[in-house]
Amino acid sequence: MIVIGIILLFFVGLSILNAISDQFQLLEKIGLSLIIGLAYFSIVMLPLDLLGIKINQLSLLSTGFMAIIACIIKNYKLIFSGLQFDNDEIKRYALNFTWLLCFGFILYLFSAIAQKAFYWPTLEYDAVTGYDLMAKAIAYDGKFNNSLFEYIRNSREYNRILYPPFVASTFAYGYIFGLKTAKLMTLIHFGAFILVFYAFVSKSINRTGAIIFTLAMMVTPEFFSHAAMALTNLPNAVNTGVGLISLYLWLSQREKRYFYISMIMMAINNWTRSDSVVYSVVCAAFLGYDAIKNKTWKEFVIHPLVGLLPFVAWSNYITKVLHAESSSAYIQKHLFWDGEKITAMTASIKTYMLNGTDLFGITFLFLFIMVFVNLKKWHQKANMFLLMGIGTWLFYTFIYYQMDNVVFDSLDFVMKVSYKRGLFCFVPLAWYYIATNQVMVWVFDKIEAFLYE
Amino acid sequence: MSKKQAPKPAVKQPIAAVIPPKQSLFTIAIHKNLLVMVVCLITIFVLQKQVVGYHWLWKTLIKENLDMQHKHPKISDQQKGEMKMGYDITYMNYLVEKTPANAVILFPSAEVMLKDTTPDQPKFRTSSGGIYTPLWVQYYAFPRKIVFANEKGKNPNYNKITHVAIVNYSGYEHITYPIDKSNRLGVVPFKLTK
Repeated sequence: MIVIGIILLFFVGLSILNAISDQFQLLEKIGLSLIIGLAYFSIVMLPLDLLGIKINQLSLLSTGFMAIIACIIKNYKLIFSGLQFDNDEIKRYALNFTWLLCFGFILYLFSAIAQKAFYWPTLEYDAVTGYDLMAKAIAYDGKFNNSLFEYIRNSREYNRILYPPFVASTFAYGYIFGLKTAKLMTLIHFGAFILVFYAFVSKSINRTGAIIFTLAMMVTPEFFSHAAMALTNLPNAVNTGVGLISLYLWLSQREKRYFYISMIMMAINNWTRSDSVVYSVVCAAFLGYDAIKNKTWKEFVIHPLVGLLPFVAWSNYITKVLHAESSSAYIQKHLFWDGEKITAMTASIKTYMLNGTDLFGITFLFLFIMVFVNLKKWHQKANMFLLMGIGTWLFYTFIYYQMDNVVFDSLDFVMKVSYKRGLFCFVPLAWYYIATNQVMVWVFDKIEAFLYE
Repeated sequence: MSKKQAPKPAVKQPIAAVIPPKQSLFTIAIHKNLLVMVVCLITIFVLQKQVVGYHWLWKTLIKENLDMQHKHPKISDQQKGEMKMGYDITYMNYLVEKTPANAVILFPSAEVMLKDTTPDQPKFRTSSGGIYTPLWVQYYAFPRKIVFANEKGKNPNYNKITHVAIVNYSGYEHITYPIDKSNRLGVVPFKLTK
């Protein structure tokens, strides 16, 4: 039954994608269809719940087919368009051993992490006491407001159950369609992202560079290890990566389809973790600047509105329906200066991003080197993306600074666990900049010129 | 739609300029093809050896896990859980086995469950999950419902208790029928049915 579930979510995603545009490349189509399909079924569970319709195979199949029909009613012939390989293009690039080597590594590593995911049952504390428990309850009771909420011992303990439900509901989707372990859903998300990242990067750098940097992004140690876990951080990083890169593609190339993808992905991101709101705010700032410059006021208004809708909807659901405390209660609303806290946070950040290579490999070191190398090429477009990344990182760190470590966990714990994992979101962003800056594009142009001349 | 569209920059397609339009799959000179691949392979090898994170990824996350799977291909999920989480999983599996899916199980308070045991008796975890953590217990017992001894008058499921979990000889005080109270661990019905 899970095969039917996955095929359904793929075609729902594909239909939505085709309704946006039929201009997406093959890899974008496959990857984005899976991600958007997952998101559709996750979000549709909320109206089903509010309408009192049980979330089960029947209701999900019905809403899935309704979405497909609604999206393809005008252009039903488009459903399979673009779903074929361009043989001429493959011939044009010939057998490139470096490309094949990296592709082989990607396949091998993905299969190895998938085997690990399927071998071990879900044991991660956060999943067991949070997302996976919530997923089981949604699948069993057919609603968000399920038996877990008959008695809330305290909202603090229920913190992970009350997370925005993207991960829990995609796991629930898997359980409803007969999965034994929901980790397959994380793997689908991860696999889809690898395809999309390659497609996005290859818009700016040649195929040899694109495959090397896709492999480099994929093997970032902590990030990669989460592909075999049932946690929220990897989906969060995927949604952030696709959302911000899409916005950059729209701002730099004006292909409207990427504006819509960015808007959808930001909405999904706010449906994944509450702290993702920082990415929407930074997107809004860039859209605001663009609106002033290019009069794109409509986009400036729509993007944050749609993006923040799931955040508002879930915050209200928690307080009004579940009668629990929203996670925003742990953020201090007034500004303050705490030198000790800043010193402690700076020390942790330095450890994670500069001193050690155990968590993120060479990601941030390489990023800093590339920023330095590109200093003289300040007016290149890739620097707009760099600014987006820096802006989101600053705001993300500021949110952790504002966290009330008396009501919530201690600063040390928060930095070691939440902040560190939250840095995953910057891994795809860092590698995207590394791969697409002018110097790197020039280097790989030379490599391919050497190969193909 | 924007009123003023910024000029569309040319998308970088360096290859198109270099590669003749029609080529066969084998037109890259073999020595160049091999050279670039070997440089790439050496870079990967050096990074894997020298960078702590990549070394861990390859040796521990990939190789050791695959070795483990090949050595123990057929062990059950319960055994895997016990390997990582110890005796708590054994007990929870026992509990699930002995109670129906609609059971409401009364657990002793955390202090009782963490009480010291004699050295020869298996110990429960005291951190990162384990039977002293309500939601952790709820996960492994699901869809059974869990209530704790200190939740009387607060948890609406307290009035629906069907079973009592026995942990460290505690729990017997909640049942009213005569029973041999010598088991350190177990699960018993709350009331005897006729």
